[in-house]
Amino acid sequence: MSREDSPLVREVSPDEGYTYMHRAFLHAFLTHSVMTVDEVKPILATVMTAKNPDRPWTAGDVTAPHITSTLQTINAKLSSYDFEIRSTKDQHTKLTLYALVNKTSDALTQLATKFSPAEIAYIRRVLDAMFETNNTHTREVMALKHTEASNLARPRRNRQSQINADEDATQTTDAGISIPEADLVLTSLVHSSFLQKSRAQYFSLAPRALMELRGYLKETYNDPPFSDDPVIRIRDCEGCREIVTHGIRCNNRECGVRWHDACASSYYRGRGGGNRKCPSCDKECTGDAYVGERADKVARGSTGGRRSAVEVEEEEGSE
Amino acid sequence: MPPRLSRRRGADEEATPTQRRRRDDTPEEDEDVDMEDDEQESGSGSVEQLSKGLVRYAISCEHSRKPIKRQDINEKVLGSHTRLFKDVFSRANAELKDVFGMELVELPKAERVTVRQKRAANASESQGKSSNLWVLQTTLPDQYRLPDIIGPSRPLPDDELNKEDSYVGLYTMTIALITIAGGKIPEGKLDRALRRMNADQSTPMGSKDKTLALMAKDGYIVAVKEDEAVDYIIGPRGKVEVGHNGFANLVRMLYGEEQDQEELEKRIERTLNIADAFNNSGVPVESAPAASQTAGRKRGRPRRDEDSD
Repeated sequence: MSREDSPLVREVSPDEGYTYMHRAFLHAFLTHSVMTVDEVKPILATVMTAKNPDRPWTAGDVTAPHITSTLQTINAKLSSYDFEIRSTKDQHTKLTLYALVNKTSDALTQLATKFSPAEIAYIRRVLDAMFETNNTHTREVMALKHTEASNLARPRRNRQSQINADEDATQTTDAGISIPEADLVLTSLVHSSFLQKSRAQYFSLAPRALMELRGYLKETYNDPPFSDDPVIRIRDCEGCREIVTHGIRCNNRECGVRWHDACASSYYRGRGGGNRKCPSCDKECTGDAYVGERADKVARGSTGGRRSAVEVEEEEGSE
Repeated sequence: MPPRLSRRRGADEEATPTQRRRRDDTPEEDEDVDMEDDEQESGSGSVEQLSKGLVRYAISCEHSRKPIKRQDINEKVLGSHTRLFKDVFSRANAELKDVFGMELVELPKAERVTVRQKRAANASESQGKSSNLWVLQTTLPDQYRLPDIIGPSRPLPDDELNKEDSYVGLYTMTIALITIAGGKIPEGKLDRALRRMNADQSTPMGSKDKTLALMAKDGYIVAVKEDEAVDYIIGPRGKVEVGHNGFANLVRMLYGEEQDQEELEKRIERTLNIADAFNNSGVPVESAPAASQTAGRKRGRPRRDEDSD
């Protein structure tokens, strides 16, 4: 509102240190797992007002540096518990989001997911389908249609992600869950902002999940960087260095450059046709080689041996 | 329980073959004994590390409404350091207060309601008063307990229901019904009340039976079976989380502004006294702390955010 009224340099925290104001702000994050900037601002304003009723704050008084410094103070306290409040930009709406993220996934915190082991196994199958089956050299979809997700309710064959196999010492032959149960899991994942469902009915990872699983996804689905011919299934944006599950790719299939829509637009802005060269391979960028559900328009490999077709592609890709 | 080595040096010196065998299942045991002196300060077995583990464990339990059990703390957090429980617990609690603005609150012991339970309780009076179960509760000062900060959850699109919020509403209502009935409500009466609220067939949590079972599992209510009849009483978590204030605020909200406030307050108090009299008729229960707000989870409960204590 009246930005002019506020001093240029604002006193960030009137009395230094960690106070109830920070604890209350942290409570808000424990209650709502993900919040947009516009949701964070009024909360921070309320907290500041509660702290000092003589100096009421409005959402308009809250500036980005203020949020950042408050979060820094909280994160300094949280880091020894392996929690962190991270921020990221939504790949679709470009809004800044904040979420309380658990940095490890040890046995203790798995409880927090509220799901039974069979349901966790189902979620792993969904992730595998998103980032392996539906994420090939030619089709980087990284999303699942509802029917595809339902088909995963019962496990088909041995799971592939190596890490899961090691971790899951409890490989009790998993009978899977029923389709209605799977639907419930999906709905509750959508409710807890872990998955999102697009207008075209695709399930994909929501920003919160990307923040929380960033490490896990790369560890699970990307080969270690120094191995021979590493298969890289998950790549970061050339602009903002965050994971891309919805964006565009370099028109050169062998090139590893990926962009978020917005990041590419701002990078290529003002450059005419013929001048939009990929920063890595110099190939002209047309902006229509998609990553995400828009890539599902690309024809799937020949229907006959889809599995083998995928493998062939991957071999080609690693040349 | 894995057999524990005697940690006393004296006993170790005369190591007999029996002791040797006992060591075999955990090879680190030897080092463990050697490290005994430093382990108070740092390393994986230090009070500092263990209490961090307990803090994380407490927060994850609270997310799934699982009470924090002493036995689970021993198994999942302390491992071979169970004798440090007291130190770790008090340190973790201090850290929870300092960093998260929450603390561990012990749940009241399960009530003895049926004649048989009471008799058993009297026979073994030695059992002690603690339940060894805890839940997390906020320690935020009242000025911060505002709906804008710690609740309620945000609105969803019209066609979707927030299950969590509905659940909070349903168990708060059920606890209120039990309180009004005098601390104990026969199954039939509760069923009838729920039917009047159109919550008898389907609720957002599933069928009515499923909902009640979930409330019982989470410790909001307890089903007491005596002979053929089933009665419901308020469970330990219900007492701590909803408590007197939750009940009073719900009633205040339902009755609205027009009512004669004084009269309403008197009636609330009388109802609570009657329910208390019932609750205290068995083995005495420590009265649940008044500030009954549990933190760390979706809690659509604006009415309880303005606790007046």
